[in-house]
Amino acid sequence: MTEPNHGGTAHDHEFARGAAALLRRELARPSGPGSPPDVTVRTNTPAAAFGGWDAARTLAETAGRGHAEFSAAYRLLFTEVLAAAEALERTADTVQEAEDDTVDRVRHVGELLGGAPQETP
Amino acid sequence: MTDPRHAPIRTGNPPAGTPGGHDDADRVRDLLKATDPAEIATAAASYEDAARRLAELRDLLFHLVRRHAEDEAAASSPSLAALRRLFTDAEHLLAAARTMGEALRAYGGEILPWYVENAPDHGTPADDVDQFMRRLDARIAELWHAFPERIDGAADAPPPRDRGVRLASADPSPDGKKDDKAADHAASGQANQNVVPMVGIPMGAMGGGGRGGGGGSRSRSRKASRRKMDVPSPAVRPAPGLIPDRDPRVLTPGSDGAARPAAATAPRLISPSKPSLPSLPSMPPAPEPGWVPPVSVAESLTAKASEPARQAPPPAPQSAIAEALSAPRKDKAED
Repeated sequence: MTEPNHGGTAHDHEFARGAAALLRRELARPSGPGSPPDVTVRTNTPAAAFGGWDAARTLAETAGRGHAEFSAAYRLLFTEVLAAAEALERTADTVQEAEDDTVDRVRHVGELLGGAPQETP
Repeated sequence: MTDPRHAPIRTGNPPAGTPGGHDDADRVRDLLKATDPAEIATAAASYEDAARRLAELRDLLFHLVRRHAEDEAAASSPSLAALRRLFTDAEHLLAAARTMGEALRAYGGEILPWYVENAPDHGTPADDVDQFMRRLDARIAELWHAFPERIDGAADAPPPRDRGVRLASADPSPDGKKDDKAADHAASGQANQNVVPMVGIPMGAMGGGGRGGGGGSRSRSRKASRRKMDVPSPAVRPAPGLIPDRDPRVLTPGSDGAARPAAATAPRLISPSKPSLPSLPSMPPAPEPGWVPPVSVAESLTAKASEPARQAPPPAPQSAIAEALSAPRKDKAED
């Protein structure tokens, strides 16, 4: 039985599956300190906590914008990591299918050449 | 909807106090007591938690990018481009989390508690109250400058120190000998700022920050001229507890030393130690200039991922072997 070039490059389906698994494992960590929901809640500091005079209010506004944009970008990053993991898995399926197809073709060529299956290098 | 990575965070004018705006000790004390430093410290801790997780994610993405880029055939693959983009986003978010966490840690964990604890007592002279609040406003302006302008690009921005921002929680050595403060001041020609709390802030950015800025203030008021760098005239007698030592450094929560009795009892929070970056090898080559990241990672991966695997067969089969290679699969042909 001939084998495709498994593990030889980073561009094969094994790499894609492995990368997807690592990303999913990162996403599957239990929600706790540092998770997007936790950060969204805990960084939402009331403006009054900064102080009621002009300079403190200005700082509070900036901190509030920072909270809003950071929380949104943080959630977006995790969403895109999940999307990347899913896409890598789909890519792995596609690549494996193509590799299997190549194996069949090589086997057929080997039969034409010598009548016996040939091992791919 | 604006992409949160590009949305501005630090906009408008920096915080500036109102000269002469605070002269009532009771009102200032009430203002300070109405703050909630613990809430701000909680937010700082959350940013620090996020930074830790982002650092791990960044390292994982770096590993995947490097591993992926080892294959020359994958150099231009959309999956590699997508992983690179995720890595860059994680880098920017990590930088933003660290800077915002440090700024909030300094304000909620150190500066604000100190000023609350040392708020002026009833009967404190108006000038001293005003000076007290000017110094606090100067600190606030420093922190404002420490915030990133936006998430995207936060990792490329110079660190707060290089922007002239000096967080109070950083390097609290009393005489500046053990840190780079003295060098910074000498380099900027502002060595005399060692004795005032507003260090490292461009005067133009301070608005009405006033005389606390030391050498940068050209239009000093009569009161400021009288006080020359905050050194009091003998006639000035601060209320007990307002200014424990007239050395202005005493009023700086970021400074430390034996000559600051009030600060000695104030909570001393150690600045969050920056996790040192892992000693990673150099990054794989960056995308070419002009490269536009895909709108959606998933879309980019799915749209082109199968291209390398489904390259077109040779155009003109001329032999049995070539025909075999280019012929459709048997099982499909039978269908």
